[in-house]
Amino acid sequence: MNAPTQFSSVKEVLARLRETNYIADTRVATAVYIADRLGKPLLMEGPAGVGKTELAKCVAASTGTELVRLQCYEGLDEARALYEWNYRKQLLRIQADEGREHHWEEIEDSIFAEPFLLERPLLKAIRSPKPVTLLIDEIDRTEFEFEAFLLELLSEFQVTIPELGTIAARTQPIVFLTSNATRELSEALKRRCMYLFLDYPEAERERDIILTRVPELPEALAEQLVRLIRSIRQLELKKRPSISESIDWARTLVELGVETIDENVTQETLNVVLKYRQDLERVSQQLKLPPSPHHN
Amino acid sequence: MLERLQSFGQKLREAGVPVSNHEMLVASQTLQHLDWTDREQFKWGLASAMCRSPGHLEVFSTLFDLFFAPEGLELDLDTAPPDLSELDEVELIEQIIKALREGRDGELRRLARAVLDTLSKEASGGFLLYRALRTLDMDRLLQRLAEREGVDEFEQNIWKMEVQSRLERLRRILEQEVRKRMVEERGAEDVADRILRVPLEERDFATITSDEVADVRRSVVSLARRLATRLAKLRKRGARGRLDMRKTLRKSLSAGGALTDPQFKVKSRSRPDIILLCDVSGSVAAFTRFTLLLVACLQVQFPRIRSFLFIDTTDEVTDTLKSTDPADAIPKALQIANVIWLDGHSDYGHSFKNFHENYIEAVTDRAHVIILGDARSNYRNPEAWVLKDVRERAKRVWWLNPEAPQHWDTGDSVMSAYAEHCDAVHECRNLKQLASFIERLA
Repeated sequence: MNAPTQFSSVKEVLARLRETNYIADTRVATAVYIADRLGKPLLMEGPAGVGKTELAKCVAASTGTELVRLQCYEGLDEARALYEWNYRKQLLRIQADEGREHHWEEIEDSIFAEPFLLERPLLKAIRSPKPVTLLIDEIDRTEFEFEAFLLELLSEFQVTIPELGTIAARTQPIVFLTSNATRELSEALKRRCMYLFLDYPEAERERDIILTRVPELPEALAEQLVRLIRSIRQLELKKRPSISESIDWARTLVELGVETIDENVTQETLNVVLKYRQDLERVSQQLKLPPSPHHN
Repeated sequence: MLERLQSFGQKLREAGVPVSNHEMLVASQTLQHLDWTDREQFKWGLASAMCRSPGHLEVFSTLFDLFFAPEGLELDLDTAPPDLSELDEVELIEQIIKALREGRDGELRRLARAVLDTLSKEASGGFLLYRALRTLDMDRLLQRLAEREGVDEFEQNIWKMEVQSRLERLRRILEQEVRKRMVEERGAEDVADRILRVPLEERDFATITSDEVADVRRSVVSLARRLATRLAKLRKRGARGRLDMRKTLRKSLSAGGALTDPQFKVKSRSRPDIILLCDVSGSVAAFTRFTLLLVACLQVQFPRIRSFLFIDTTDEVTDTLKSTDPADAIPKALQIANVIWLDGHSDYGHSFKNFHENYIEAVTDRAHVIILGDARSNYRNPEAWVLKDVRERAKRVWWLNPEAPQHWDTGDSVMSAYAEHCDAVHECRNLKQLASFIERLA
């Protein structure tokens, strides 16, 4: 396995991510850079919608590598994540051989071979001839057992398939793991990764992000939007608006051709930012918005 | 440098961040890739190797500033700021108001340090923070900042929210600065447990402060979601009955008659009826609230729940809890429930008697009765016969007590008088214990 590194300095990470419209800060860029240099997976934690998945996508885009994504869920197992034998095809093969004289060993060798293997994301990432970016999304949704199973992959970049032997990565993938911290991950897994906590960005960076993603938005409006969204964020809400909501809101304002955010605009578009009725009521109350006909 | 890193790691460990040898090794590997002259880069590079949670990052930042270059040093070089030590309290406060108004964080940090400097002669540690907050008087700051002329009402309202978040920021800066002083004065160990608290799931309900209630509520909801998927899966697995030959044969047709995918009959299992009887008096309020919330979030698992609240008399709140979102409903239920009969001191005996008079027919032979409370009845008659009768009618009677077993039957606790008539009494002091009880129940 060769380990070509993708970036030569933190500045380069910043610049190349910016080309893909991802506005990182030194903190994010350093973590990406170090993970790449040391060839270790990067574990990202933080609230939903602050750009964890997006970071992985943009790193893939900026390095020109293919993004292989494994979405985790409760009950995810090896068969869905790594590989599975295509048993229907194997059965057909055996039935096609019926009547002919074959030793069992011969049949076994022939049906436990490449053509009968169903490749799932993890195996795909390992076997790819070109380097890939592997994103293991929402790892905290899986069970403990699956985490343990990932350990071999994450530290050695290899997997063991009983019938085929150990397969080592041909090129070292860049690996990202994301977690929404709905449960504690195991120490063993954390130890194998570099750690990055992504939080809501500083006002200035948030404005830059919005302006990069929605270039049509006037700068003054972006400024106003960020002020408002940051104020909303500090309230106690069921779902705090994150960057993805800010961007959605910016797009909405552009669509509507709004020039300045006032009471009426806020009241009519607030449902883009807040997903729960209680949250809407809470914020309307704080901002003393006039009661809206839609909300009742 | 390596030596310095070693002792930094040692300090982190003292402060409760579990930096293992492996992490030290990784940290030293990062050193050769980092630009040491860039403070930010150096800091976050090390952090990515040595921290494993937001709490760790807090501690890391504090210690990093003490060990390596402190924050804001670079700024001071270009624009030598006026000496702040000459200013008195009133002038400092004026400066702080100015910095808050303009939203300048760096300035705010320097001013906060100056305030702490003037106060540190008379106070230290947690008391210093308290003094600083007293001196600054957040409410007064809010008042002074909130007023702005020549803007419309909407702008004024946004501004108010902004001011609040800036004041919160000031508070955090003060906390951080005080913590740094504490590490310098008393060493890292002393500060550790202030920052690195026990995870919320293992926190004793009684020690949860009002600041944390929101966090706990959020984690109850996410816990409920996890429990729900888990329970649904277990239920599905448990429902697998005997082999269903007919379905298996039908399924095999697509594989040319080979029996590849065995099918099973489905066992039906009824979900338990639940009757919750909750003590909502002050001493156990936090515990019962979270329990109610958790159970309410699991509506799907427990479709038939009847909830009763009591202090010294009992009232039913089932409908209130069902009608709205659980998180909002519980405070509402507490507000409207008629739970005080005499003086508002817990009276289990009278509450149980009242329950028996009005609601005993709710207890059917399928009901699981769960009583939440500390069994502290202010030396009044426990009326344990009610529980005996309830147990004869119900399928199961459980008691969850938020106190540690060694406190049961001390003082006015009459736990064992009731325990006699329960199937089991569980200690339930944190979310983890609560979750494991609920899991066993379903």
